[in-house]
Amino acid sequence: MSNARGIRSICVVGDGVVGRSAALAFASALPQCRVEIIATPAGPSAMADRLGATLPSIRRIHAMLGIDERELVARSIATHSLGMRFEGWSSGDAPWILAHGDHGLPAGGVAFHQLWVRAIKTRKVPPFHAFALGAMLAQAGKFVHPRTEPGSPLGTFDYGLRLDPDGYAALLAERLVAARVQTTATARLGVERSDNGTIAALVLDSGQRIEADLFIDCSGPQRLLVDRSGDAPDLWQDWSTLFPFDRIGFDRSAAQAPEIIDTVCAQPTGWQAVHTLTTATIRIEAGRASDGADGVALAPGRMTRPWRGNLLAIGDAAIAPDPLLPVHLSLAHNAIERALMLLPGRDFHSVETDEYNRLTMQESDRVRDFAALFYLRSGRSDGVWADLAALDPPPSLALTLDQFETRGRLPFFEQDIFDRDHWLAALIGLGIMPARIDPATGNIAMSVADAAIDRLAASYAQIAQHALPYPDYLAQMRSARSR
Amino acid sequence: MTGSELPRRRVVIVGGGTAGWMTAAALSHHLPNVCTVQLIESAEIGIVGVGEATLPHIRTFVEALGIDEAEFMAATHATFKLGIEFHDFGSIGTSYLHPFGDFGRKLNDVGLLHYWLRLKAEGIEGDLFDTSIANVMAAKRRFARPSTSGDHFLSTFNYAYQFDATLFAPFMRRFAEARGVERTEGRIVDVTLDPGSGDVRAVTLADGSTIAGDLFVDCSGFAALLIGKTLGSDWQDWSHWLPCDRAVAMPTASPPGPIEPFTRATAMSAGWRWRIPLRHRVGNGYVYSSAHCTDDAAADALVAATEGETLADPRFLRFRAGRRTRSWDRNVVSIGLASGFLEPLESTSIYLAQGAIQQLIALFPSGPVREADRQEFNRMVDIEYDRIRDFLILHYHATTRDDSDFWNHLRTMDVPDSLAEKIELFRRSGRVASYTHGLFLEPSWVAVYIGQGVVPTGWDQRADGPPAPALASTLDSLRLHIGGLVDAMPLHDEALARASAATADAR
Repeated sequence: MSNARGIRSICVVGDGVVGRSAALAFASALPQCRVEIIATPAGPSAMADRLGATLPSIRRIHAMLGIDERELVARSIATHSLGMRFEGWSSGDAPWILAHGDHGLPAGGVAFHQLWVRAIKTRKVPPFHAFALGAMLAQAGKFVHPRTEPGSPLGTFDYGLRLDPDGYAALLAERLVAARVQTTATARLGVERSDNGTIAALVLDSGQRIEADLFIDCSGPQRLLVDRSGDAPDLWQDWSTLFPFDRIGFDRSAAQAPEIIDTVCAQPTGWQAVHTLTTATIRIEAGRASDGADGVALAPGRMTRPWRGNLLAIGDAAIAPDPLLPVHLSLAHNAIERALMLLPGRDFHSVETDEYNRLTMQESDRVRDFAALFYLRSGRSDGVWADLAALDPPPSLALTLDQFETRGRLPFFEQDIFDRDHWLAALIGLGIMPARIDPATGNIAMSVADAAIDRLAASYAQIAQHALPYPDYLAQMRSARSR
Repeated sequence: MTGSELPRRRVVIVGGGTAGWMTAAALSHHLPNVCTVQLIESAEIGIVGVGEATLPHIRTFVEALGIDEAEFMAATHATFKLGIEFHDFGSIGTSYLHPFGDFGRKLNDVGLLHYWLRLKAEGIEGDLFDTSIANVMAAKRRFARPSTSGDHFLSTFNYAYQFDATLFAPFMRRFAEARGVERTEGRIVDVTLDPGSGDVRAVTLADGSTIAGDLFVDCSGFAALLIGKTLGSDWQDWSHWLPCDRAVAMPTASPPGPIEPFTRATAMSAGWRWRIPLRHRVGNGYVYSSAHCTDDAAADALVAATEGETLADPRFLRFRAGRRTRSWDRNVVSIGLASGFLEPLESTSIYLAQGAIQQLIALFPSGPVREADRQEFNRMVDIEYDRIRDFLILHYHATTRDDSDFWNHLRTMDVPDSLAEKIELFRRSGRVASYTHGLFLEPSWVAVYIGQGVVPTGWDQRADGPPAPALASTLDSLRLHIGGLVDAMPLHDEALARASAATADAR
């Protein structure tokens, strides 16, 4: 016997990376359910479909989808990423690194960053990222896979994948065929709604009517299935005040040696990032149209209720964060995972969809806060940055800033996709320092802490020195695969 | 500028019960260079000595103080605790254990509950609780500490202690006094406020002496001397949902036979009765609603229900369910019963004090108290209270009992919206509202829902995948596997004897 209220059919609109990922995930997890894709002309501004960067959670998603990292590497679809390097952010001159994984080791119940803060107020110590092995590997252009052995330094860092959106979308298409998911293309899409606001059917340009229990809108900012006739402010929370860059340009050029980290540089009018794939190098530039920036239009914000009745929006349709921190695809993956975890019955009772919306909102708002940190506290006073520095942060970010600036504490928030170490690395990297040294550090003698700090930095530098340069490591992975 | 260069803040703790001495111990250990700690208590005023039963978090607290577990257990006559066994809550004659641990393990990302629900719907019955190793350990009176290096299931449970609260506070006191906490004997007769800020400046004792401080911690219990009587911080009353407002406690001699590694809670006609097995005695008590039961009737019911020799006369306590709207007001931080009260149904009292102490340390003021810090403290404390409140109400509301006015009220009352939504979510599809911070995560809620007969009508659709017979045999072999692991563990009594031997060796 199966779930009496179970969903029997799902129709996904949009066949970019997000739509295909969603269709594949649902088809694999729910073999009794019919899943199909309606391919509509892609909007150019769906960042989750265009930016291939992912957080370490990609490995969990790939395990769920049955996608093997080695295959992605062998087919030149993915390279590895240890984090991001920021240039021109913060008043300091040196670039700094936002790496995945632990920063330092706690000692005697005292957080490492508090000991580091105490040390840097009295003497010269390596930058905070020097205590993240991932950052040290990245700085040396090296890579090695983390290991799970407890106690090993190689267990302290993590990595994400940088996906070539075209190659990845093609791979997903192969998997969809194997999973017997049908794709039907249409140039136009009609939406038939029932009186209660749910979607009754989609009408394709062939005249074909598509009915399903659940409709998933993966059409990006077009939000083709969302009823916009209602009260708009209720549907969309606009973040453009915090994120004024409304244009993003992409320039694809010949491949260069792949880098293990993405670099982003702040400029007076915006920022520029470089993503190296094995097939191409992508240069990304963001700024304001009013400053002459060119490219695809951006409208940052989020839906207030991404799941309403039998319509679920995933990807840029649901949340469009600023692209400085390219977490769009990871957010879409999390949304897919969460939707599966909380999949309601086909009566879509609001108590079930509300739980999905509650968790998604918590996650979205923390993503907004993390990105806003880089804009509001850039440490720059030129061009657009001066205006941004004068803005009030959202209350939840204000709380983080207040607690960190006062005493180096991070208040807790549910569903934050950035962990404590991400926040610490970003705050410190941006030059934000606690005014007060944590009194708990008083329990660790300065000399003991100093020795431990120096030892750790030296140990990580040495491990990084002995690791393989990333291009060599990648080549080795490929040849191991072909053998 | 370092912490030690600032003048040390003078902390005055008012009240020397469990919360007071825990606070004194933690502040003196974690912030020795930052504050001086003075504790005022009066031998004339008894302590409530809440919480003979604890939650696993207590171990973090004790460990962070650098205290050896064996020494701690010996000093407090502690036994191990794997959960709480509830009798007669969902209906008379039923029982279940709320175990400190998971049910089975996920299969293909889906929790075991969902497979169990599906099999049940197909007529394949089996015990869900047998997939929880903590539950099986409790049933077999066996105990071993969890381990992350062995079999997976050995890492899926946790444990706490059942100890003598009248020994716990003195243990904390010795620890705190050894770290410089100054204890003053005396009864507070007057409080001096700063005319400008309204902050508490000093307290005057009966002998006329005054004690001034920068920060006052109100651990005066229900008296709430500073936070309530002096500052008048509002009280949110929850007695509509949690009407129990009295308890009568009475220890008895340990019965012969193995000591149970769990606490027992048995529903009564106007409340519930606890039974906490320690090494040297058994703690008993009846928590009841004075609107539904007289003190004499409660004492009689308790005496009638307990076994073994009575070690003391019944002792009565009065309380009221609720919490302060501002646990930290001006320069007064309330911790323990002064800040709020939730009946000990889920052994949360010490945990709540511990949580507040941790927040106080994290937010400890280096100068005048900032409003932002007070708000943050209250935000964190309120989250804990409100979640526990809902969890406790569930125990009373998810019932078919109609044998007394007390149960009729609880069964039919409106519950807070936050709980009504949680119950509805679970009823529909076996999902537990998701949180990562705070107490009582998914397995706890599942235990109480299922244990009290809230059986979902749907389940995670992904559980429909595997064929039923294969699934049933997977669950059966999992139960066998867990049973085998538990059979290899020592009996609880043996584990306690080993712990005692370890203390003897250390001496």
